[in-house]
Amino acid sequence: MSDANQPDYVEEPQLYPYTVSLSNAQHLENQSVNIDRDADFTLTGVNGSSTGRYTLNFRTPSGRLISTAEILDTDIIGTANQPTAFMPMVYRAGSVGPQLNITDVSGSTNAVSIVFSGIRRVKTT
Amino acid sequence: MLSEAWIDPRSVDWTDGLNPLRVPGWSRNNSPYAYQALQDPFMQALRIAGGIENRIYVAPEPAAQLVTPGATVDFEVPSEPNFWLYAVAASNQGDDEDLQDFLFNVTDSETGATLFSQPVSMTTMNPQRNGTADRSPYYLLSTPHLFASPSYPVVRMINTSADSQIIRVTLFGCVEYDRRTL
Repeated sequence: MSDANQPDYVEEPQLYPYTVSLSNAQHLENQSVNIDRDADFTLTGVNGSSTGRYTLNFRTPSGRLISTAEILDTDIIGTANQPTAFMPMVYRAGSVGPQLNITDVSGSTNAVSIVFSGIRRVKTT
Repeated sequence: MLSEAWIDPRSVDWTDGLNPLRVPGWSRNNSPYAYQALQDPFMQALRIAGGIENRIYVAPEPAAQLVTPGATVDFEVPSEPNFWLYAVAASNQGDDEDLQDFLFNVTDSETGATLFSQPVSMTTMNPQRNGTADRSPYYLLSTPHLFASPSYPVVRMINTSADSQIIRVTLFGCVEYDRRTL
Protein backbone atom coordinates (compact mmCIF):
# COMPACT_ATOMS: atom_id res chain seq x y z
CA MET A 1 0.00 0.00 0.00
CA SER A 2 1.20 3.48 -0.74
CA ASP A 3 1.48 5.99 2.08
CA ALA A 4 -1.69 7.68 0.87
CA ASN A 5 -3.61 4.47 1.52
CA GLN A 6 -2.26 3.91 5.02
CA PRO A 7 -4.95 4.24 7.69
CA ASP A 8 -4.75 7.36 9.83
CA TYR A 9 -5.82 5.50 12.95
CA VAL A 10 -4.96 2.52 15.10
CA GLU A 11 -7.49 0.21 16.70
CA GLU A 12 -7.31 -1.03 20.27
CA PRO A 13 -9.59 -3.24 22.36
CA GLN A 14 -11.83 -1.32 24.74
CA LEU A 15 -14.23 -2.32 27.49
CA TYR A 16 -16.64 0.11 29.12
CA PRO A 17 -18.08 -1.50 32.27
CA TYR A 18 -21.18 -0.30 34.07
CA THR A 19 -21.79 -1.49 37.61
CA VAL A 20 -24.74 -0.74 39.87
CA SER A 21 -26.45 -2.21 42.92
CA LEU A 22 -30.22 -2.06 42.49
CA SER A 23 -32.72 -2.32 45.31
CA ASN A 24 -36.02 -4.15 44.93
CA ALA A 25 -37.87 -2.87 41.82
CA GLN A 26 -35.55 0.14 41.55
CA HIS A 27 -35.59 1.92 38.22
CA LEU A 28 -32.77 4.14 36.98
CA GLU A 29 -32.87 6.30 33.87
CA ASN A 30 -30.22 7.72 31.55
CA GLN A 31 -27.22 6.13 33.23
CA SER A 32 -24.20 7.41 31.32
CA VAL A 33 -21.40 5.18 30.13
CA ASN A 34 -19.09 7.97 29.10
CA ILE A 35 -16.87 7.47 26.08
CA ASP A 36 -13.23 8.57 26.32
CA ARG A 37 -12.50 11.87 24.61
CA ASP A 38 -9.48 10.62 22.68
CA ALA A 39 -11.11 7.97 20.49
CA ASP A 40 -14.36 6.89 18.88
CA PHE A 41 -15.79 3.63 20.19
CA THR A 42 -17.30 0.90 18.03
CA LEU A 43 -19.61 -1.22 20.15
CA THR A 44 -19.33 -4.85 19.09
CA GLY A 45 -20.87 -6.72 22.01
CA VAL A 46 -22.53 -6.70 25.41
CA ASN A 47 -22.01 -9.16 28.24
CA GLY A 48 -22.37 -9.11 31.98
CA SER A 49 -23.44 -10.76 35.20
CA SER A 50 -25.93 -10.10 37.99
CA THR A 51 -27.30 -11.62 41.16
CA GLY A 52 -30.88 -11.41 39.90
CA ARG A 53 -32.93 -10.55 36.90
CA TYR A 54 -33.37 -7.07 35.53
CA THR A 55 -34.54 -5.34 32.38
CA LEU A 56 -32.65 -2.72 30.43
CA ASN A 57 -32.75 -0.47 27.44
CA PHE A 58 -29.99 1.72 26.02
CA ARG A 59 -29.46 4.42 23.45
CA THR A 60 -27.95 4.06 20.00
CA PRO A 61 -25.33 6.58 18.82
CA SER A 62 -28.12 8.71 17.31
CA GLY A 63 -29.60 9.10 20.80
CA ARG A 64 -32.75 7.05 20.48
CA LEU A 65 -33.56 4.02 22.60
CA ILE A 66 -32.63 0.79 20.86
CA SER A 67 -35.75 -1.05 22.02
CA THR A 68 -39.46 -0.30 22.26
CA ALA A 69 -39.51 -1.69 25.80
CA GLU A 70 -36.94 -2.73 28.35
CA ILE A 71 -35.37 -6.09 27.49
CA LEU A 72 -34.95 -8.94 29.98
CA ASP A 73 -31.26 -9.42 30.79
CA THR A 74 -31.26 -13.06 29.69
CA ASP A 75 -32.54 -12.00 26.27
CA ILE A 76 -29.72 -9.58 25.53
CA ILE A 77 -26.76 -9.95 27.89
CA GLY A 78 -24.21 -12.38 26.50
CA THR A 79 -21.34 -14.19 28.11
CA ALA A 80 -17.71 -13.20 28.39
CA ASN A 81 -16.66 -15.64 25.70
CA GLN A 82 -19.49 -14.61 23.42
CA PRO A 83 -20.87 -11.14 24.00
CA THR A 84 -24.15 -10.40 22.27
CA ALA A 85 -23.33 -8.67 18.99
CA PHE A 86 -25.20 -5.99 17.13
CA MET A 87 -24.88 -4.25 13.82
CA PRO A 88 -22.00 -1.76 14.00
CA MET A 89 -22.64 1.16 16.37
CA VAL A 90 -20.04 3.93 16.56
CA TYR A 91 -20.18 6.25 19.57
CA ARG A 92 -18.27 9.46 19.06
CA ALA A 93 -15.37 10.42 21.31
CA GLY A 94 -16.51 12.32 24.38
CA SER A 95 -20.16 11.32 23.99
CA VAL A 96 -22.37 9.95 26.76
CA GLY A 97 -22.24 6.55 25.11
CA PRO A 98 -24.91 3.89 25.44
CA GLN A 99 -27.05 5.62 28.07
CA LEU A 100 -28.92 2.99 30.07
CA ASN A 101 -32.38 2.66 31.51
CA ILE A 102 -32.36 -0.25 33.95
CA THR A 103 -34.99 -1.82 36.24
CA ASP A 104 -34.73 -4.55 38.83
CA VAL A 105 -37.27 -7.37 38.42
CA SER A 106 -35.62 -9.83 40.82
CA GLY A 107 -37.62 -8.82 43.87
CA SER A 108 -34.55 -8.19 46.01
CA THR A 109 -31.25 -6.37 45.89
CA ASN A 110 -29.40 -6.97 42.66
CA ALA A 111 -25.71 -6.41 41.93
CA VAL A 112 -25.49 -5.80 38.20
CA SER A 113 -22.40 -5.60 36.04
CA ILE A 114 -22.64 -4.88 32.33
CA VAL A 115 -19.68 -4.69 29.97
CA PHE A 116 -19.87 -2.88 26.66
CA SER A 117 -17.02 -4.31 24.62
CA GLY A 118 -15.64 -3.06 21.39
CA ILE A 119 -12.87 -1.27 19.64
CA ARG A 120 -11.52 2.22 20.11
CA ARG A 121 -10.22 3.93 17.02
CA VAL A 122 -7.37 6.32 17.89
CA LYS A 123 -6.43 8.93 15.32
CA THR A 124 -2.75 8.97 14.52
CA THR A 125 -2.69 12.12 12.42
CA MET B 1 -10.73 -26.52 3.82
CA LEU B 2 -8.24 -26.66 0.97
CA SER B 3 -11.00 -25.98 -1.53
CA GLU B 4 -12.04 -22.78 0.24
CA ALA B 5 -11.03 -19.53 -1.39
CA TRP B 6 -8.36 -17.61 0.51
CA ILE B 7 -9.66 -14.43 2.13
CA ASP B 8 -7.34 -11.45 2.16
CA PRO B 9 -7.40 -10.40 5.85
CA ARG B 10 -7.06 -6.77 4.78
CA SER B 11 -10.52 -7.03 3.21
CA VAL B 12 -12.16 -8.22 6.43
CA ASP B 13 -13.86 -5.62 8.60
CA TRP B 14 -12.75 -6.92 11.97
CA THR B 15 -14.65 -4.20 13.81
CA ASP B 16 -17.92 -5.78 12.76
CA GLY B 17 -19.52 -7.31 15.87
CA LEU B 18 -21.40 -9.87 13.80
CA ASN B 19 -18.31 -11.05 11.97
CA PRO B 20 -18.09 -14.81 12.64
CA LEU B 21 -14.36 -14.69 11.97
CA ARG B 22 -13.73 -12.70 15.15
CA VAL B 23 -16.09 -14.46 17.59
CA PRO B 24 -14.84 -17.93 18.60
CA GLY B 25 -18.34 -19.23 19.37
CA TRP B 26 -19.41 -18.54 15.81
CA SER B 27 -16.43 -20.14 14.13
CA ARG B 28 -16.90 -22.66 11.38
CA ASN B 29 -16.03 -25.46 13.80
CA ASN B 30 -17.89 -24.31 16.92
CA SER B 31 -21.16 -23.36 15.26
CA PRO B 32 -21.38 -24.13 11.55
CA TYR B 33 -25.00 -22.91 11.54
CA ALA B 34 -24.23 -19.49 13.03
CA TYR B 35 -21.17 -19.19 10.80
CA GLN B 36 -23.23 -19.80 7.68
CA ALA B 37 -26.06 -17.52 8.88
CA LEU B 38 -23.65 -14.63 9.45
CA GLN B 39 -21.95 -15.23 6.11
CA ASP B 40 -25.27 -15.18 4.27
CA PRO B 41 -25.04 -12.63 1.42
CA PHE B 42 -27.92 -10.53 2.73
CA MET B 43 -26.48 -10.57 6.24
CA GLN B 44 -23.07 -9.54 4.91
CA ALA B 45 -24.65 -6.73 2.91
CA LEU B 46 -26.40 -5.45 6.06
CA ARG B 47 -23.24 -5.68 8.14
CA ILE B 48 -21.32 -3.41 5.80
CA ALA B 49 -24.16 -1.14 4.70
CA GLY B 50 -24.09 2.56 5.53
CA GLY B 51 -26.78 4.23 7.62
CA ILE B 52 -27.80 1.06 9.45
CA GLU B 53 -29.44 1.53 12.84
CA ASN B 54 -30.15 -1.25 15.28
CA ARG B 55 -33.70 -1.84 16.43
CA ILE B 56 -35.01 -4.22 19.07
CA TYR B 57 -38.72 -4.85 19.52
CA VAL B 58 -40.12 -6.55 22.59
CA ALA B 59 -43.42 -8.39 22.15
CA PRO B 60 -45.89 -7.95 23.69
CA GLU B 61 -45.71 -4.55 25.37
CA PRO B 62 -44.86 -4.76 29.11
CA ALA B 63 -48.45 -4.23 30.31
CA ALA B 64 -49.63 -7.27 28.32
CA GLN B 65 -46.81 -9.69 29.10
CA LEU B 66 -48.67 -11.54 31.88
CA VAL B 67 -50.63 -14.18 29.97
CA THR B 68 -53.24 -16.51 31.45
CA PRO B 69 -53.10 -20.30 30.90
CA GLY B 70 -54.08 -21.38 27.41
CA ALA B 71 -54.43 -17.83 26.15
CA THR B 72 -53.22 -16.73 22.74
CA VAL B 73 -51.74 -13.26 22.28
CA ASP B 74 -51.20 -11.63 18.90
CA PHE B 75 -48.94 -8.59 18.97
CA GLU B 76 -48.56 -6.31 15.97
CA VAL B 77 -45.01 -5.01 16.22
CA PRO B 78 -44.77 -1.24 15.66
CA SER B 79 -41.73 -1.61 13.44
CA GLU B 80 -40.31 1.05 11.19
CA PRO B 81 -40.51 0.65 7.40
CA ASN B 82 -38.11 -1.83 5.84
CA PHE B 83 -37.17 -3.60 9.03
CA TRP B 84 -34.62 -6.39 8.65
CA LEU B 85 -35.10 -9.10 11.27
CA TYR B 86 -31.99 -11.20 11.84
CA ALA B 87 -32.46 -12.83 15.26
CA VAL B 88 -35.10 -13.68 17.85
CA ALA B 89 -35.00 -14.43 21.57
CA ALA B 90 -37.78 -15.78 23.79
CA SER B 91 -38.05 -16.05 27.56
CA ASN B 92 -40.53 -16.38 30.39
CA GLN B 93 -40.92 -15.45 34.04
CA GLY B 94 -43.17 -17.15 36.54
CA ASP B 95 -43.33 -19.02 39.83
CA ASP B 96 -42.30 -22.26 38.11
CA GLU B 97 -40.65 -20.73 35.10
CA ASP B 98 -38.25 -23.63 34.62
CA LEU B 99 -41.22 -25.95 34.15
CA GLN B 100 -43.29 -23.58 32.03
CA ASP B 101 -43.23 -23.08 28.31
CA PHE B 102 -45.04 -21.25 25.55
CA LEU B 103 -45.26 -21.40 21.79
CA PHE B 104 -44.58 -18.52 19.44
CA ASN B 105 -44.31 -17.65 15.79
CA VAL B 106 -43.63 -14.51 13.76
CA THR B 107 -45.72 -13.71 10.68
CA ASP B 108 -45.21 -11.14 7.92
CA SER B 109 -48.37 -9.04 7.95
CA GLU B 110 -48.39 -8.57 4.16
CA THR B 111 -47.14 -11.84 2.70
CA GLY B 112 -48.29 -14.16 5.46
CA ALA B 113 -44.85 -15.77 5.55
CA THR B 114 -43.98 -17.29 8.91
CA LEU B 115 -40.56 -17.74 10.46
CA PHE B 116 -41.45 -21.23 11.60
CA SER B 117 -43.78 -23.64 9.77
CA GLN B 118 -45.66 -24.07 13.06
CA PRO B 119 -45.39 -22.33 16.43
CA VAL B 120 -42.11 -23.21 18.11
CA SER B 121 -41.49 -23.89 21.77
CA MET B 122 -39.72 -21.20 23.80
CA THR B 123 -37.69 -23.90 25.56
CA THR B 124 -36.27 -24.96 22.22
CA MET B 125 -35.12 -21.46 21.37
CA ASN B 126 -33.93 -20.19 24.77
CA PRO B 127 -30.23 -20.90 25.48
CA GLN B 128 -30.82 -20.85 29.24
CA ARG B 129 -33.25 -23.72 28.80
CA ASN B 130 -31.78 -25.77 26.00
CA GLY B 131 -28.28 -26.14 27.40
CA THR B 132 -26.41 -23.54 25.35
CA ALA B 133 -26.25 -20.79 27.98
CA ASP B 134 -22.65 -20.06 27.08
CA ARG B 135 -23.77 -18.81 23.68
CA SER B 136 -25.48 -15.60 22.63
CA PRO B 137 -29.02 -15.26 23.99
CA TYR B 138 -30.59 -14.85 20.58
CA TYR B 139 -31.29 -17.30 17.78
CA LEU B 140 -29.83 -16.17 14.46
CA LEU B 141 -32.03 -16.63 11.41
CA SER B 142 -30.39 -18.41 8.49
CA THR B 143 -31.02 -15.29 6.42
CA PRO B 144 -32.46 -11.93 7.53
CA HIS B 145 -36.15 -11.39 6.82
CA LEU B 146 -37.14 -8.05 5.29
CA PHE B 147 -40.48 -6.62 6.34
CA ALA B 148 -40.90 -4.43 3.30
CA SER B 149 -43.16 -1.43 3.82
CA PRO B 150 -46.07 -1.50 4.62
CA SER B 151 -45.42 -4.89 6.19
CA TYR B 152 -44.66 -5.42 9.86
CA PRO B 153 -44.10 -8.48 12.08
CA VAL B 154 -46.99 -10.06 13.94
CA VAL B 155 -45.91 -12.17 16.91
CA ARG B 156 -48.29 -14.89 18.10
CA MET B 157 -47.67 -16.31 21.58
CA ILE B 158 -49.60 -19.19 23.14
CA ASN B 159 -49.28 -19.94 26.86
CA THR B 160 -49.30 -23.74 26.99
CA SER B 161 -48.71 -23.88 30.75
CA ALA B 162 -51.30 -24.47 33.46
CA ASP B 163 -50.39 -21.20 35.18
CA SER B 164 -50.12 -17.56 34.24
CA GLN B 165 -46.64 -16.45 33.27
CA ILE B 166 -44.82 -13.44 31.86
CA ILE B 167 -43.80 -14.18 28.28
CA ARG B 168 -41.59 -12.20 25.95
CA VAL B 169 -40.38 -12.54 22.38
CA THR B 170 -37.60 -10.11 21.51
CA LEU B 171 -36.89 -9.29 17.86
CA PHE B 172 -33.38 -8.14 16.89
CA GLY B 173 -33.04 -6.27 13.64
CA CYS B 174 -32.09 -3.08 11.92
CA VAL B 175 -33.44 -0.40 9.63
CA GLU B 176 -31.55 1.43 6.95
CA TYR B 177 -31.59 5.19 6.85
CA ASP B 178 -30.28 7.58 4.31
CA ARG B 179 -26.88 8.53 5.75
CA ARG B 180 -27.73 12.21 5.47
CA THR B 181 -30.53 11.84 8.01
CA LEU B 182 -28.25 10.47 10.73
